Amino acid sequence: MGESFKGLSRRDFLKVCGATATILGLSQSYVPQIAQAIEGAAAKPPVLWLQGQNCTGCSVSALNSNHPSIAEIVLDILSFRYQPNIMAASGDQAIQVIKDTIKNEKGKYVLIWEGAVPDKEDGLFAAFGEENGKPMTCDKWVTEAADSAAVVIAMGTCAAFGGIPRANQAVTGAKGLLFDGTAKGGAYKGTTPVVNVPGCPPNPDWLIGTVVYYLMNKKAPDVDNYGRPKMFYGQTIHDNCERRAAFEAGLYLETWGDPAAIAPAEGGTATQNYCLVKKGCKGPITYSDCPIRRWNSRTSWPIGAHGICIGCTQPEFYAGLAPLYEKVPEVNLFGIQTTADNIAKVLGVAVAIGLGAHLVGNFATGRVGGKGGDK
Amino acid sequence: MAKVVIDPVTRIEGHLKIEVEVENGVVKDAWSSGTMYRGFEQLIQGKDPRDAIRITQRVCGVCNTIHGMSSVFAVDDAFGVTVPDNGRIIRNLIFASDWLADHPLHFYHLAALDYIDIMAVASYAGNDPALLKVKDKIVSLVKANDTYPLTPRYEPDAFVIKDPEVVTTAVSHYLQALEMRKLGHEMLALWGGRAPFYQNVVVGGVGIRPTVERIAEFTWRFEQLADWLENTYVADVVALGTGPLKPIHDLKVGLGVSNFLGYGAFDEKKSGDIKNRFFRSGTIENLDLKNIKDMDPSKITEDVKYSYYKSASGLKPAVGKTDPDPKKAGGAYSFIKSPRYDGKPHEGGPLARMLMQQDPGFMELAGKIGVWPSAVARHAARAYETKMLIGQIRVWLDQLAKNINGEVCDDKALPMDAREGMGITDAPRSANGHWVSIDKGKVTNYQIVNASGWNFGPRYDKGVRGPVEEAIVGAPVPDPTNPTNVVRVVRSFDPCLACSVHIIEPTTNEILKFKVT
Repeated sequence: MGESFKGLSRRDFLKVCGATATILGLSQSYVPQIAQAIEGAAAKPPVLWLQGQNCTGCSVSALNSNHPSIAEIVLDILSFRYQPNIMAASGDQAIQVIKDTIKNEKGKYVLIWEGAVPDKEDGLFAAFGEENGKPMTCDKWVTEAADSAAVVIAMGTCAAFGGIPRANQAVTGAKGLLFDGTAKGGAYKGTTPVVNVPGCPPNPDWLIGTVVYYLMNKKAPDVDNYGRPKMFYGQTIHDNCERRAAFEAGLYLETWGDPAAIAPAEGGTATQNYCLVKKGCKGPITYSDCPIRRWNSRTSWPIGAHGICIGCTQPEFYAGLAPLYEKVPEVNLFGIQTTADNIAKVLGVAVAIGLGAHLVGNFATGRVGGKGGDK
Repeated sequence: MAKVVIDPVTRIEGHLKIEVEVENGVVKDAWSSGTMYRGFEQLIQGKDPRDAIRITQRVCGVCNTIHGMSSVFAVDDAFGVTVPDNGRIIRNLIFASDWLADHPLHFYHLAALDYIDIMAVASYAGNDPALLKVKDKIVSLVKANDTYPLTPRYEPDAFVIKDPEVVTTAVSHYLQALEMRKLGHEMLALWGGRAPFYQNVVVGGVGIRPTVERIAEFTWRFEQLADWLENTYVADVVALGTGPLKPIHDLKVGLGVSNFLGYGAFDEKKSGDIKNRFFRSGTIENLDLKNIKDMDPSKITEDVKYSYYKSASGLKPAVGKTDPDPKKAGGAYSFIKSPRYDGKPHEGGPLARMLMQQDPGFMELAGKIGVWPSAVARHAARAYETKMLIGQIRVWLDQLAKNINGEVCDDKALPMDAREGMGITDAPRSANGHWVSIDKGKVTNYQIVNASGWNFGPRYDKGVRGPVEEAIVGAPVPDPTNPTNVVRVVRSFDPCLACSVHIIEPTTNEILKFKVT
């Protein structure tokens, strides 16, 4: 092994590998294997990061990556041929880079796609670049770029399932790459493997972890029925929620900021922070490791900051989970049970059923449904 | 005459396209067009109005804080709540944290590559260990024959800074800024749960209560970031703006429309009250800095003649419509509508705010650079207001600490009768507004006049250019294959939408293809 790797000292490089192992939930004994995967490549693996009907929130979230940092990812680990928010090139120069990569790195590059893909009105609702004076639409871009990629990462809920733009599908035709909400049949019809990394936005660790897993193993990580890596999306928010005990005890917050429903350490007078399910929290039906991984260098997370989970990693998000501030209706919980056979392969579904039964029990006894039922 | 097309314009948020006509090396005309549409105003119809506060944040992953604030102000207004002081102050802290992350990101990561020749780093001859590390990094990329995403790029023009010491220092600050801006998002997450997209700002206030511990957690991050912002970011902008970049300012690259508008930002008294904000609201007409007028929201309208919408033109946002038609004939060229104030285009953003604020420190800085709008002046205003905001955050933290047990939310039930609400506030990059109508607990109409719409909107119905289009006119483009001054001006407005600039031969309508290797 050389003294330095792509401008990093050996020690710094191994620190990056160690941090990456942590993201992946791997033992530090995997550090040499990760180092081998990253170092073993003759050149940095090329990446095309393209954007459809997006808001750039996924890219901004990726900028918040800590271990490894975004500078290490961009300059040391991967070769970002096209990333519209950071790259120097504009216009035809930038478009040419995409074309060259598709042609010269066929089967070698990672495509990260951010945003939904619309197909109404000849795809004109999302376009970038021009060819012969005509806009190049994203429905064509996604096919061209994905077909020649080694693997595709559908970054964010819009790319994975259609997300918020899908709530206006009647007008624009927005879909995810492989999925249209919970149903198969998205905008990408080709055969290149697609891994979904949903979230609005996704945690940077989910993206980096998925990419590094792929580089290490040359295959996509184990995924659930919605194409999400089980290592990040294997359990519900509710399974690991710090307010689970309050839920079990039937203690539910009814008024925002009410000191009588907030723990002393958080400025209230209650024995603990009350569960937010009556305020509409979608934690019980949402799969991600937010309660453990948390956000922004692990400073906080939505429920930790006294806000609800809005279910942003779910294929139903947004329209299928509206209204966000009404408690998850009983019928949906029964729905999970009645369709359990269909989603039985999803890791953790048994827990969800158990939860459903428990919550239904609480509704039945008036602990959730009734006014002040916990008092 | 050559017509230049840059598509896409990168290092911005979103999908924007700008075309310019160049004659004798100078831009004669320009067109700005947004090339993407999702339809937030349509998809939120019929939904619970409280959802809008979460969902409309996702209009923009960069400007999400502002859209959330505009939305909550609008829904607050419709619900008729009285936000308690602590709720208002915590919202200010969430909002301000984002500004402190956003402004340096814009300067270093989005704009700076237009002003420096990054390859000059290889010639750094000093012995500063930190700068030598930067040099080693860039040299190793060159040796590996993989300098993406720093290349390809426009060929450095006459204004680009080539001094190895200055460039290497700037690149080291670029790398520092990647780390420092994360502190702003951590500060935001401490009060808001995560960034981007906070989760606990709700109708009536916030869900989170202040504690001494949280203030302390916030403060140590904030003071670390504040120190770096003042001594590195602001210092860099001042040094570069009064030094190597002054020639660009002296050429008046990016003059603009000379009308400015601001809704004000950061409520100091009643939440949503535009008369009592830390950054004041107002308008300036024809660069008349002695006559700052009150801003009257009823004078805001949106034209759509040149936009891909079949809805009526010139509507006020409260009764606005959004009905897209991407194949609209008759010269339409953008998904962005064209907002007007009192029938005229107005520039919003840091320069508008600082020209209205007229803080002595800014006026002194403007005097050194030259008191007229330009790309460089916009960067200077952005840096200066960062400094002002840092001072005020300390005031808010003190207010919060003195009233630690105060209420944070006026939590009211969803009203079932017909209501209307307006939520307007300045964003880091311009003035942003949401208008909501509700009935029977559902949204019946929702209109957003985007921050960047003020600056990047296309022509008005009468054919008058929008602020960015006007600002590009006159920019020197000696080499149409390297329209660096065009992207300098475009990026100085910190666009939050996807953008492209085209170069076309108007006589033949043939697009001039240019490739730089």
